[in-house]
Amino acid sequence: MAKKKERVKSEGVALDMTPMIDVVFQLIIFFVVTLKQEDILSHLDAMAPSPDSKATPAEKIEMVTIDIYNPKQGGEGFLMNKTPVSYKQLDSEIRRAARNNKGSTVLLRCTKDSPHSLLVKALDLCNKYGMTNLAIFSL
Amino acid sequence: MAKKKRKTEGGVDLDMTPMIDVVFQLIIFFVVTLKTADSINPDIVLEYGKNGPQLKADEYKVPPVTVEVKRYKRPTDFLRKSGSPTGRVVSINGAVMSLDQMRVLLRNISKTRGTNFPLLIRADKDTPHEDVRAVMNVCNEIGIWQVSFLAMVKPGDSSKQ
Repeated sequence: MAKKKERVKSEGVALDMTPMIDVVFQLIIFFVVTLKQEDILSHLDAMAPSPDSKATPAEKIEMVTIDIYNPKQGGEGFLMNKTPVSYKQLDSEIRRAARNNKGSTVLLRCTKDSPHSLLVKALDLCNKYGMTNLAIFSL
Repeated sequence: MAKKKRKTEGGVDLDMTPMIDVVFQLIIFFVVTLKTADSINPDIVLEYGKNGPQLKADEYKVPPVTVEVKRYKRPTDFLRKSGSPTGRVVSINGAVMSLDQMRVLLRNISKTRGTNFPLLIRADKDTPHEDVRAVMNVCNEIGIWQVSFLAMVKPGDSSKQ
């Protein structure tokens, strides 16, 4: 009799975990699949704050002009001081300008139909060489 | 013989409690880290700009406002959902609006927060400059000066390139 009682008890508390684990794994798979990794972004300042009033203005304002146009008209869409340049040339030109004077103003002039990507590329290069005096104009 | 069988049944008994604990921890982790991408325009593809300062969640004291701009040539699911026609589409937090509506919204924000808040322009790489300029002009009108363009440093899984 004693043996019988014990056996019934131990069988009664046993719980079948299989369906629960199945469901749990389904949930894990669902969340892993639907999980989206976020993009890592950077920000390129378009409008810098007005200069400090205490700062003395430079006697001679050095300026670098970059024109940005739609590459459908030919070239890669960049003019550096009115000369057509490729992205690589623009990189080395900005590097040279930054070596001369990092504080010189970079004037970015964009035509209406120029793609935004070219402006971002130019701003990115200015950031790369630490040129922070930027002015964006539309043509 | 019957007794022996019972013994082997007892032998395969496994304590599932720690496993279930771990599994629930995993579920909670994934639920908490899951982010829905409903608040952004999924059609916008950003240009690479790895030299700019990386955008961090705690970078700004005041939460920034992100304005999205894209020039649509053909309708997409996002446009159909928002019921907007093709052409220049400006949106904030996934809500498509006209430039006038954006002006009113930004003016209301500036009334409570002042104009000293960052505004991030998330423009598609193929958007013509005039569309981005239109947004910048509104910022100029209101006096928002902390304007930056968003660029991509490294794409996540969600980016369609």
